[in-house]
Amino acid sequence: MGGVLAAGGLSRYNAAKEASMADVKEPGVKDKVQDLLDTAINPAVAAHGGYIELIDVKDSTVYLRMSGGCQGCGAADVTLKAGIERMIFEEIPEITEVLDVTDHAAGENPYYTPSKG
Amino acid sequence: MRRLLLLIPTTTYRTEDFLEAARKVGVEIVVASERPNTFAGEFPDDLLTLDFADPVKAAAQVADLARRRPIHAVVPVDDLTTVVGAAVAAALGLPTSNTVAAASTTRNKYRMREALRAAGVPTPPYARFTVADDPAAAAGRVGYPCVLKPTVLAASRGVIRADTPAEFVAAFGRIRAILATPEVAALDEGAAEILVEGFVPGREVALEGLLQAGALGVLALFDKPDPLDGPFFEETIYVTPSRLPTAVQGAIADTASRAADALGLREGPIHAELRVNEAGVWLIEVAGRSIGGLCSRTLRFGTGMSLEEIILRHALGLDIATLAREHAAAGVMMIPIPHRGVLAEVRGQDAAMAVPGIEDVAITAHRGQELVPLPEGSRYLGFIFARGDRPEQVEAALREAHRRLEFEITPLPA
Repeated sequence: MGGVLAAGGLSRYNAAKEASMADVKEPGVKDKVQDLLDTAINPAVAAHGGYIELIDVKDSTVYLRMSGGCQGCGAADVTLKAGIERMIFEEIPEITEVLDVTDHAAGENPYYTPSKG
Repeated sequence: MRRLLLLIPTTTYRTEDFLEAARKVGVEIVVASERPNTFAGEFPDDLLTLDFADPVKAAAQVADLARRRPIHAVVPVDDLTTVVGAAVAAALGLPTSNTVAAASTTRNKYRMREALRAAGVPTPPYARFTVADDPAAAAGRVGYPCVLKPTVLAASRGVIRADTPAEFVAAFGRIRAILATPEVAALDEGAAEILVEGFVPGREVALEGLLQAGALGVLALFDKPDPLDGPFFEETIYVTPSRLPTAVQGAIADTASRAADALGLREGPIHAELRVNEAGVWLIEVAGRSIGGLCSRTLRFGTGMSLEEIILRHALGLDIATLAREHAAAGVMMIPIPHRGVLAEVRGQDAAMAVPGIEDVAITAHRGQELVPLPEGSRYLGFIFARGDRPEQVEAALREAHRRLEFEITPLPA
C-alpha cells in the first residue's frame, strides 16, 4: 500500500482484503482486480456516474471498459492513468499494464465534454 | 524519477496525447485540473485541483506541494492554463517557462495588439470597446470591413466580420450575448471587452513553433486552403507543408518570431495565425501554447516523436534530437458543425476511412450532445486525419472523406 493514500476507497479495499486473509485459497489475479474494482475504484467513479468493467486479465495486462459518465469523458484518461492504473499497480504488483478498450466515441453521457476552450 | 505537472482542464481535447507523451518520456506525472478528479482523495499529491482563474493561489498551492515532493517541470496543455502555468513555474523557479506577464498578454487580444504595434509588427488598425458601449455609436468610429472579436476567447469563437454599420451592430449584440454566458464571464476582467480590427484580406496560415531561450524553431507551417473571409471564421482544413513560396514562408517565420519577442514569449510552444497578401505578412494572433483540438496528431518529428513529446522534453530540459518534421505531407480537417441541434447519428465512417491517405476519423461529439455552430459554439464534431506524398493529395483526401460522412442532427425545438 502506498503511504500517500488517504482514507477512502482503498481503505475499504484493505479492510476487505484483511477480512479475506483467513481464506484458505489465495485469490487469482483476476479476482484481485475485480475486488479492487468492486471495493475501491467503482465506488469512486460512481460519484461521476461512471462504471469500470473488467473485461479480462491476460498475462500481466488488465483490460477495462469504461461506461456511464466515464465513457467519452474529457477526464477519462487522467482517471485511468493517474487513478485506476496507479491503484492497480500499487495493490497488484503482478499487473504491469492496464488497457482501456472503451469505445469512447459511443459514450452518450460523458461527465466532461471537450471543447475548444 | 523527474516529476512533471500537467495542467489539464477537464474540457481539453489534449489529455490523451500529453499523457502518452509523458509515458514515452518516462516521467512521473502530477495532474492538475480545475475540478476534482474522482481519485483526488486517494492521490492528493498526484491529482490536484487548482483554481485556474486564480494563478497566485494555484501557484502557492503547488509550491507547498513541491516543498514535500519536488516538481521539475510544469506544462499547460492549452490556452486556459498558460497563465497559471507561468505563475506556477515562477513560484517553483523553473527556467523553461514564459513570464506571467507574457502569458497574460497572449490571453488578451487587445493587450496583444498593443504590444505588437509598439514593437512595429504589422498589425491592422484596431479599437477596444466594452459591452456597456453603445454599438450604434461604436459603429460610427470604425472602418469597414472590420472584424469584431472578444478579447479573451480562442478558436474563432465570437469572431464576426462586419461590412456595414448595421452588420456591426448585429455582431456587437451577438458577441455581447456570448460574453454574458457564465463560463465566459468568469474568465477575467477582459471578458467584458470587444476588440474591433480592420479585416485583413489574404491567405491564412498557422505556424507551429518552439521557443528555446527566445529563439524560434519552426515545427510546421500549415496552409488553410478554405477561404476565411467571414462572416464567421470557422477553421476547417490544415495542411503541411505549406505550398507558399520559400521566401514567403521565411517572412512568415520572421514575423512570428518578432511577434513572440514583442510579447515577451521566450520558452515553449507557440501557435501563430498569420495572413499573407500583396502588402506582406500580417500577424493575426499568437498564443503561448501548441495547436488545439486533436490537430497535433498530424505532426511527427524525427523518428516518430509527437509534438507533445517535444513540448515535454523542452520543459524538462531534456535533449530533443531534432525539430525536423517528417517528409510526408499531412493534414487535418476540423469537422464543422453545420447547424444547431442534437447529434442523433453519424454515418459513413467506414467509407471515409476507405479514402486513400485517410489515417483516422475521430468523432469527438457524442450522440445526444447539443451542437452549437460558430460563432457561439466551442466544439467540433470531430477530426479527419490524412497523410500523403503531396499537400494537394492530403487536401483532396480530407475533402472526400468529409463528403462521405453524414451527420444526422435533430433540430432543437423553437
